[in-house]
Amino acid sequence: MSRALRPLATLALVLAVAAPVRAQVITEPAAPPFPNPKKFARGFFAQGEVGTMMFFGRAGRFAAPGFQLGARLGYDILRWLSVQARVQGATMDATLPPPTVGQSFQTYVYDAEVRLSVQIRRWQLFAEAGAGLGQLSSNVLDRVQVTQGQQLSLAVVAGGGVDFHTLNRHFSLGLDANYLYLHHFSQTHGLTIDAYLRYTH
Amino acid sequence: MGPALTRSSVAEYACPMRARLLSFGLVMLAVGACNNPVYVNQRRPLGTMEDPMSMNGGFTTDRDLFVLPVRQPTMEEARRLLDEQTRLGLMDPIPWAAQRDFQIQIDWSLKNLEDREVTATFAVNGGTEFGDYDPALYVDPTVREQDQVVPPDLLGGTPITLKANQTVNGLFREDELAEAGLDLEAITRYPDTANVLSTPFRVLTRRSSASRVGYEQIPANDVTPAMVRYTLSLGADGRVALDYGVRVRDPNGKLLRPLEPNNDAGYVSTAGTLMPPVAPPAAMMMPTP
Repeated sequence: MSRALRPLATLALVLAVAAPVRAQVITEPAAPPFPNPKKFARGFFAQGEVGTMMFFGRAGRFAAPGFQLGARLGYDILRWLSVQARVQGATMDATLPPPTVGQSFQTYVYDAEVRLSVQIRRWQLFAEAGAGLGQLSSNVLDRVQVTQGQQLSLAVVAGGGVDFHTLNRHFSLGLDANYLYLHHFSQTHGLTIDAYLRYTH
Repeated sequence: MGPALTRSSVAEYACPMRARLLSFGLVMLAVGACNNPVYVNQRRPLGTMEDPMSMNGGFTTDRDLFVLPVRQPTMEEARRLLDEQTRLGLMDPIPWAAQRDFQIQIDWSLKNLEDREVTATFAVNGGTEFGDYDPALYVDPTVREQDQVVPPDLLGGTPITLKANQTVNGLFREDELAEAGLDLEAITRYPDTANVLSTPFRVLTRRSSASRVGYEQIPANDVTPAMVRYTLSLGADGRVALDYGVRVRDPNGKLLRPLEPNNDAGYVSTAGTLMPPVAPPAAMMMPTP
């Protein structure tokens, strides 16, 4: 090689060695969360409930907390908004002063509700409220003026709870607590607490 | 090989079955809803007090009449009762307030108001829509006074000993009221015609399920009336107070609303006494109220 070409060859060698190396991906993209809440079923749902109902105040003095069964049917309009109809019935012991002792009665609530929810992975926090009718099966509370002959009342319900989704996309379990107001039964206040199983189609 | 299961054959089976299940559900709902008890409050509490006319510190007996509020039958219902009477071949009318229409229970609570032991007696007599039973009218006036015996009360009448300020709760069960209704039927409509006065002694000292003595005159296909008039009496050797309530199951919807006892608009007479169809001789001598 001639003396004149030697610097050019050196420069070419340096450039060749210093050329950028192409980047290479060596890690996999993060996996989607499991289970994916977006894959949970959404739409029509049915819910069965079991729990307790209790009254406070004047009615609470004459009615012991009772066992309750309930059912809800509803529809998820959006991921966070649902409408639902609920029927619940509780059997309660009347704790009246003598002579009316050892009697029991049933309380039924039929209402329509709106439910708002926030999904956090498999957990969902929700709040719900609605209104409807409350009904007593007998006039046993007439004697203590909780009712005055009527056995139907306006009912207002509000509450919330937590829902846990199973690995099956259709089923979830939850706990639900609701405040209950029965206007025509001497403005009775109450509380219902339920555990439920929900199936979403 | 059986016939093929076609869509139409499934529909033929499923539709009537669905209708049957729906009907069954509705009937069960109706039965459940109608069989709820109704509670009729007492007219007033009963109480004994010192008798101002008594020389030796006696106490007055308190009495009250409670009449179950039964609504009037409609024209159609009255016609059906007559039809049923004809069909059964009964000479006497069929009760509108029958045992098949009401299951009745009386709850009571008796309180001693004294600071000492007291013996009290609470008894219930009364009648059906046809007539009353008054034990005093079944005393044979032809025997010597010391041999005269008052027949038993329909319900209660057993002395109850109460400690100072003690309260005792009790009840007359539905089956006891039903038995009383049957006894009333034997006493007031179908007594032994040869000896009307003996019938209360025969039927009130026996359970009808154990012995049919005294019930022989009741027709086999009789519709038993319900006891719907209650004459309550409370006596004691001190001051006592009694509260009571009447619980009624009314599956045929025959109670009168509002639920006020002794309602003159009701079907059952609210007169102080109601003469039975077959009255004892002593009743014939009583002035008509």
